[in-house]
Amino acid sequence: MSGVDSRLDGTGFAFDRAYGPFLYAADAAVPGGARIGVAAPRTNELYTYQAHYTLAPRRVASSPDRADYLALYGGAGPSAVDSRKLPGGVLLRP
Amino acid sequence: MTATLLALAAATTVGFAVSRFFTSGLARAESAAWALGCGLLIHAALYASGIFLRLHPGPRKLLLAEAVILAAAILLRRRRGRAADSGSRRPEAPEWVSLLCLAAAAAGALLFALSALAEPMWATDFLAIWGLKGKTIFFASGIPDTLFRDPALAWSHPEYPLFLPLLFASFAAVARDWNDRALALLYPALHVGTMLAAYGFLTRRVSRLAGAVAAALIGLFLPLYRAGHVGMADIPLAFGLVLLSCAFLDAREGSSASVRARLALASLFCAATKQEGLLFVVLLAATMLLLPARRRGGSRSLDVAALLLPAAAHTALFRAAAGALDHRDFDLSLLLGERWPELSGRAGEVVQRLVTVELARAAVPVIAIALLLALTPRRDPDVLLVPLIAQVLLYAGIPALSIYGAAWHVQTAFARTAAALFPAAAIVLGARTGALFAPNRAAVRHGPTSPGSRSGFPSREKGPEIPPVAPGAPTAGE
Repeated sequence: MSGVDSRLDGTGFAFDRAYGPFLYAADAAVPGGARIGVAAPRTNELYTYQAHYTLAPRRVASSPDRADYLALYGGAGPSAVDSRKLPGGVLLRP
Repeated sequence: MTATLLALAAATTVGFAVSRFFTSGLARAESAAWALGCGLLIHAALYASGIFLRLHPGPRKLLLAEAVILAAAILLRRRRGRAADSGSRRPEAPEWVSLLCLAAAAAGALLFALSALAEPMWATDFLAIWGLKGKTIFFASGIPDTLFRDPALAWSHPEYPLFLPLLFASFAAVARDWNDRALALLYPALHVGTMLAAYGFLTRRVSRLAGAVAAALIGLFLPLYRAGHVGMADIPLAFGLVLLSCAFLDAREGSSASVRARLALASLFCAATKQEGLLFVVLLAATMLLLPARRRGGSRSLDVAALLLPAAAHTALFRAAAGALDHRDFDLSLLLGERWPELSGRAGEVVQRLVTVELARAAVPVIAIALLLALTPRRDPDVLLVPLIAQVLLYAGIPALSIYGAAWHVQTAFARTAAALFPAAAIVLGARTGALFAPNRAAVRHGPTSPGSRSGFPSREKGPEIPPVAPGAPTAGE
């Protein structure tokens, strides 16, 4: 089992099994130096921590207007020309 | 994982070569623990130097630098007598009791290793603090200012020391890969290192059984050594605290350049790992100043300096790198007179939570420890209880200042941070238990002994021998 697979199947994503594939898809789609905003539920602080850790060393912006990319988890999000579907969400260029 | 394992072995080898300058006279087991601690500090320091000089340290540069240090240490090494026998030379208790304890310790080590390596590190504090910083440093090959100043990372505790993130990044640099499962290897190594330090120290100073009891207590201490704590700073801190405690107890019996070097190294390890480590260094220095020890040679002020200077240097270096940071976890204005009523209300909340939840949960082991301390004669390592109890009391009091609420702070931090103190306390418990089985119950030996000494232990460090203490006799200053 690869490192990514074992993380996805591990305890770290037990709070939401669908969130890991979404983050890793965003990780693969966004260039290393870009700043990314992640919109995810605020019901569990692990959404934030996992986003920052998984997407590091990219900076995860606290506000969408300061991000080069916006990853929306769990929704279709606003329509945009430059958008890409991710497992469980969508990636936009605001 | 193989690369990380090899890097760990290389770091420990270098640590062994360097620590030989100040561990002659110690038992083999504790020498191994010092080698690990010294090696980890050197490894992280080399990596930090490399990124500071913008050398982009990778496996070749790091291993070459370690090879140079290894060669220099071998060339400079002076022989100071053969390594100590880690076992006692005279019977103190049935050997099978010690073996049983050591088997329990080994089982605990195996159990923890299996749980630590079962999956990539996932603890919340690993994701939010230690792993996040380590991963960022590794990929940036530097320490980005965002770790200290990015408002989006305010929850990642920018004020925390960076030794552990640098350690993660340095091992990832050798492997050229951020593998958060392989990096977990550090934790079983630190667990074993903690056991070896306590076992070796007590075998040398008290008895083999005392060391085995301490090793078993540490090995099976599940409140600290469990998967949920892998990736956090508490297990590395526990290792540093045990090293520091051993050096402190040696310094009380007879100071020397070697003892001061051990004090300095362990002090740096603790202060660089966690703020609680710095607190323990300060409390230990206060204990050293306030409780005079039976000593032979050396100077107390030099020992205190050896203890405080590395921690102060680390604090200054971190301040220079990070600048002034806001310690936003605590509201110190609560200490002002006009807010004392509010503070007393929060203190009451803390006490209620501690008594009804934390203490109730740990009632059985706490009562067992209290009974052991009440029913066994006092031993020299008892002095460690002074800084340890003071630290627990501070852990209990500090939540009253928390900006997140007193009860929340106790709930999330008290048990975990207090658990990191237990391995150091196990030195006291091991000494008490082991001395019970000594033939004349007066077998608390004081430091290394000479070849012709009455105890028959091999010589490692020079200095006048100090006679054994009768059971229950108070130590100097008590």
